[in-house]
Amino acid sequence: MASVEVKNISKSFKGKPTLKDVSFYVSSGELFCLLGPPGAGKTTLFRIISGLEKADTGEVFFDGEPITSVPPQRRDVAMIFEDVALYPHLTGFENIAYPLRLRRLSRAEIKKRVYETARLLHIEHLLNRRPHTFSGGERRRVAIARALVRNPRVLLLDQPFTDLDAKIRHEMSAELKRLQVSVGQTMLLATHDFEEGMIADRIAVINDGEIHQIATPKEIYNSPITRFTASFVGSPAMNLFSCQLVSTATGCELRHPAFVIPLPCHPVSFPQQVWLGIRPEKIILKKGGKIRAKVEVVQILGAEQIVDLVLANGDRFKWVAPISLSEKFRRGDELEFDFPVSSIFLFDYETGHNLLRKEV
Amino acid sequence: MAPMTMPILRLQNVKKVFNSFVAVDNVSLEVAEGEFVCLLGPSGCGKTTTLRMIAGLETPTEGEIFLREKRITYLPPQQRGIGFVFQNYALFWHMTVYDNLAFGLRLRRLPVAEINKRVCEIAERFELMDLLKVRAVSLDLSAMQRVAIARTLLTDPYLLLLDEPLNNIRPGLREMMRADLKRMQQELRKTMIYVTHDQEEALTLGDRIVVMNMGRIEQVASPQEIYDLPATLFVAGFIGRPPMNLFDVKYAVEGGHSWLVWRQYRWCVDKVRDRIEAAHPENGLVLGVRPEEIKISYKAPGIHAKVVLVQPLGRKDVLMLELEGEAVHGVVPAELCINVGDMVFVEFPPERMHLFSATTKEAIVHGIS
Repeated sequence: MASVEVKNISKSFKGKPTLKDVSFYVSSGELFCLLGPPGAGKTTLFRIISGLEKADTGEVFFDGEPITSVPPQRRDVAMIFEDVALYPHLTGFENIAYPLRLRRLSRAEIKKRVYETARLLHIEHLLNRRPHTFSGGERRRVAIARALVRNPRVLLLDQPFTDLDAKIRHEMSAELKRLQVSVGQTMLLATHDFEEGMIADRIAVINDGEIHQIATPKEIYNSPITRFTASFVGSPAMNLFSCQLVSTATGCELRHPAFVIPLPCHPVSFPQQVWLGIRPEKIILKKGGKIRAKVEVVQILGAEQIVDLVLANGDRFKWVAPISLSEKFRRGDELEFDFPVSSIFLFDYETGHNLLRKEV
Repeated sequence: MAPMTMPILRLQNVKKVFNSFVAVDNVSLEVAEGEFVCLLGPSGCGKTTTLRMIAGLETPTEGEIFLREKRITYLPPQQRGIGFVFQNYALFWHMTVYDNLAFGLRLRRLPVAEINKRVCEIAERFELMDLLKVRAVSLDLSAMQRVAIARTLLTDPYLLLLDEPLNNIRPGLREMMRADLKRMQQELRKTMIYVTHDQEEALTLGDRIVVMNMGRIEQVASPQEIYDLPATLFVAGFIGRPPMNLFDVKYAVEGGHSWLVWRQYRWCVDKVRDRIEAAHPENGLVLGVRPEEIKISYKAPGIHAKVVLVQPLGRKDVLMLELEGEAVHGVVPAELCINVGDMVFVEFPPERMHLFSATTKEAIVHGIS
């Protein structure tokens, strides 16, 4: 197990920058997530850490030692990709034992370690079977076991669960968390699915090769630094409205073509044009509320419902409401809402920076 | 719940056997005009095979299929009047959106003016007017989906079949496209049958859901009913995120009262006694409670439990609890700020407890008070 430091890494392909001065530190035994849309640079970064790709500038350190000149096979990094390649002619046991045989460990030692790892991943029943009989989730478990069995310094997981059924995907991410807690393996997880990323100890949100924020999952959700992070983390995504921030006698107010919200703040340092952000679960249904909207679609999800609403000017937003509300909502219903000031986010219209976030 | 109006589609004891594997086993189903029906189940449950038989891409081994009361069991696909939207959309990638839309109409040799009129009408409705000259290959996913559905609708089908059209689309975009699809269906009121393994999609899109498992139908009901009143243990364990917690419990009569017994805990079930006794409780009972309906707090009363894992999901936290040595899931609002290692008290609200027979796997009663 090693700590991983990525320092000022930049990389361009054909003059197009893929990574722009990326830096972060992952402590030994941490589960760290790179969260970003496809094309954000996650895979390139993994390839640089594992040595399959060279950075243009910057360095990678394991336990404080630079590894830039160490060839991939000697870095002791295990990597798991979206499509898992198991040896089809070998049993589960032999697949997991493979890296140990390469190291010429004794038979007894191999057997001991394979069984230990298999128990950890609940795959003892797969040891005598061939991969073609495994389900998607089982293949993933065997691949993880094969990576873990050799105690790599770092385990890289590149979208390991994306192609699995939604249900198994959620089970597997919980499983991964449990595993990391029990073995203390340093793990880096790349994903575009924020819910998968939320199991990490810390998340680095990355877009267009640039890191937007590094923080705990709860911090990322509750105080995103940029509009990108705010809208990428959360389901349904945060509602955003383009508004004018205007001074008034008592403070200031947010003006949108369909509503006005007075704010207690003093707008001196703020630009005029801003993005107003509010999470769908923070919106409050209230008779006489300032925001009037019409119901377009109601999606019921067990204990809660997602209601799509449209404002007078055509802007749309989503509201998450508990199903226990006595009212049933139908397409075309006119409702009144409140956006509580304490739940409002403001983002710079140009740079996307969170204007209300206190610097830590 | 059967549809009120005359069904547009009817499957009657349909069975499909591949070699010796029974993919679809005695499936009967009625779909009403304008309805959005979701076929939901894990991979290999027979949902896609069922869809392919409705489309005519497979022939049933047994049983009959009727469309508008006309038998179509052995009719070739193109004569059925059914539209099929494939998972990868199967657009003509090198052709423009306009040509993709016009393709079917040109095959039918409609006059150019008529084709133009119909293409523009549908393009308007699907917000494709600005994209008519763009080649399909350079469209974004949401536009591809709209073209695929619009193209199918232009052939004027009685019925639209969709095979996991939102699979492989990244989260975020998927939710957007899902809402688009729902809005589209509400506006068009076109009968749609939609196959998915994603319960969230089925719950949010479907007027009714058909839950399938191992070739059989487990339950056909509205999303709310599927969630509140699961008919079988399979449905209870499949729906919900995380799925329902299940416990093997015993039935006992003591001191003139009836009890469900689990470890040293017991719940009085006098009010539903007759229904439990009619279901042969001596053969085993399974108690189910949804993670989001468990009451979790730092104060007694309740069963003492330890928090083993916290999985934040934004507005909610999914907890894994260790309760009497068993792993139990709970869901709490993120504001509670529960941490790993915390000791909490867990209560099961009697009105939200579900009871199943361990032998027939069927529901006995929902709510025990």
